[in-house]
Amino acid sequence: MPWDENWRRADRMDASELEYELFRNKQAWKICFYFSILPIIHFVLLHTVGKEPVLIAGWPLLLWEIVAVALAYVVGLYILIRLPEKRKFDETDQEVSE
Amino acid sequence: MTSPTVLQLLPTDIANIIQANYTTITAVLVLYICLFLVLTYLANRDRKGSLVDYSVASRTVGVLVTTLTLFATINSGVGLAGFPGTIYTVGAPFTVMAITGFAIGSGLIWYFGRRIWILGREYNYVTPGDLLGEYYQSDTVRVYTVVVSLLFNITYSVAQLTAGGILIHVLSGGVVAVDTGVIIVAAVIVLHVITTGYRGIAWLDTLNGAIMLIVLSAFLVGIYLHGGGFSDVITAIGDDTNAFITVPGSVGAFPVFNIYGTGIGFLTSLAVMTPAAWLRFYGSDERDSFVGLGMGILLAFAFVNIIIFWIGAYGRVVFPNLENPDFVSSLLAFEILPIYLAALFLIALLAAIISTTDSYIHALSVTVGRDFVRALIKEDLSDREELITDYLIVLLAGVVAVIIALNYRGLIVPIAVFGSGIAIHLMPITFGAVAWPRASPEAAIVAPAVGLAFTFVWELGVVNNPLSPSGIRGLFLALLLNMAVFVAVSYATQPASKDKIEKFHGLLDREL
Repeated sequence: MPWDENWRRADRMDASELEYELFRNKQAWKICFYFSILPIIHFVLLHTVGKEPVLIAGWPLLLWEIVAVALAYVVGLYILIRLPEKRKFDETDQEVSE
Repeated sequence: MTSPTVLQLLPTDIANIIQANYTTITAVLVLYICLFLVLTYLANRDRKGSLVDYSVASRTVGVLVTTLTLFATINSGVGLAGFPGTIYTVGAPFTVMAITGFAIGSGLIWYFGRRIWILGREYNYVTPGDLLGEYYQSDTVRVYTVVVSLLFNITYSVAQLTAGGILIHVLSGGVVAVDTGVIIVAAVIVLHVITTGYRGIAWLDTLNGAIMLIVLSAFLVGIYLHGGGFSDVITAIGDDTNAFITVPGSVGAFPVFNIYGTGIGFLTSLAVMTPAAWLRFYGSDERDSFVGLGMGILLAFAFVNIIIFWIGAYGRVVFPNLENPDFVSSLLAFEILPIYLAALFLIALLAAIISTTDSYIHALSVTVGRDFVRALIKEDLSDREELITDYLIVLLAGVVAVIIALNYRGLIVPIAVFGSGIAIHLMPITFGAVAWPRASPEAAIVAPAVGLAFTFVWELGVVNNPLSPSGIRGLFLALLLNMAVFVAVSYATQPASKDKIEKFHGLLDREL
């Protein structure tokens, strides 16, 4: 196997020619959105309830908060799973795929 | 080198309890060994003797076994002894860090896991280097995966063997020396891996994972009954209660940024990007397993880490002046649980150590055999020859790990933390290979190198990272740097060849 043949590749495709732009954008944005919104909520909670020394039913508020966030992740994961992943081909895409 | 006499280090009462109940402890140990041997026999009987069977159990492992083997692999002796000890010292923010890491990891298991599974099944991949090396057409990328595998698996195995030696010493009532214990544990693991492969490891991990969950559940009940309720446990901590249950914790070590940095850099890495996790993804029997696997890992670790919090918190009440907090879970077991359950806790600790070490040594053999020996040294290796090479690597890794464990014990913990921080650097290039066709080979070569170099410099304290005053860990900052370089270089250079994009992203597009 030549060592890193890609370093020497001269005939690569231009990015604009790739037929996966739509797919790429959709996937990238979707994962960025869902995996960033929950940590942000978590971050805000840590900065607020995480600084209050309060017990609820004997458990620290911080522990309740992380249980809630863990469950939120389960719900977020479920929503992500339920989203349709199959790309909706437009006519151009169908011609290419055929 | 002299062995630490652990029994003498334990408080006299606990040492006496162990000595007085030596028969019970031995009986529980013998029972566990019997179950271990039965599983080894069954797994050996079912093995097919092929390379893919040794590496990923012919891709036939169901979701429950996959979940428990990943759980047991991640939940090492560090999880059952080190984590309670850390909570004893720093308080609830460490639990938040742990669950944050696994919460993010569980989503990524679902996202990456099934993509890796689809590509692995279609093109017969068994290692991270198989997938990444082919997509980027780069031997350098393959070498990265081997370096990550070597650093991570060896250092973690060494740390586990050291703990295993100490545990055998305790379980034998001091009869077996720590060094001998290290050799015994290593020999058992090497034999188990060679004779059963991934199938045996997964089955044993399932048993071990179940033991851990049962014992920890008993622990929670024990703490509730012995402590007179959870409120009393918290208030009994005394003057330090408020700091113990709030951010940034008792010694101020876990501000919010460190919770994220350590959680993502350390635990998310363990759950998603280690070679052992990849093997578990490849070994699953169906794509839909990854919904259950992601949620199972999250719920299991949320459950376990909450119990570990209570062990650390109540340990602080019962043993307020421990010199070595890593003993807190073992000491508390003998203080509050019936003797047979306390003995089972020590067995669970041993089980955690074995499960982690066998998985990592197995992953090491598969990755080095495939991505170094077969890809770079001897390309015409047959599957049979590669399998024999894997066995030899298991043996060699066992010997090397024992030698390091016996000679350089003091260096192991910082190196192990560094080791787990480096596996995360495979994540951006994995994202490129399974979800981002714009990623370029040049970026896949440059970005991990930058990330690994800065992880090394910042985590080992060669230079302080510029954001350390705000509590951001070097390993997390290095990951961000890796991601930024990966995106920037990808846009500045050409993507992978069109046939590779069609082969990877085209397949995933059709399948998902």
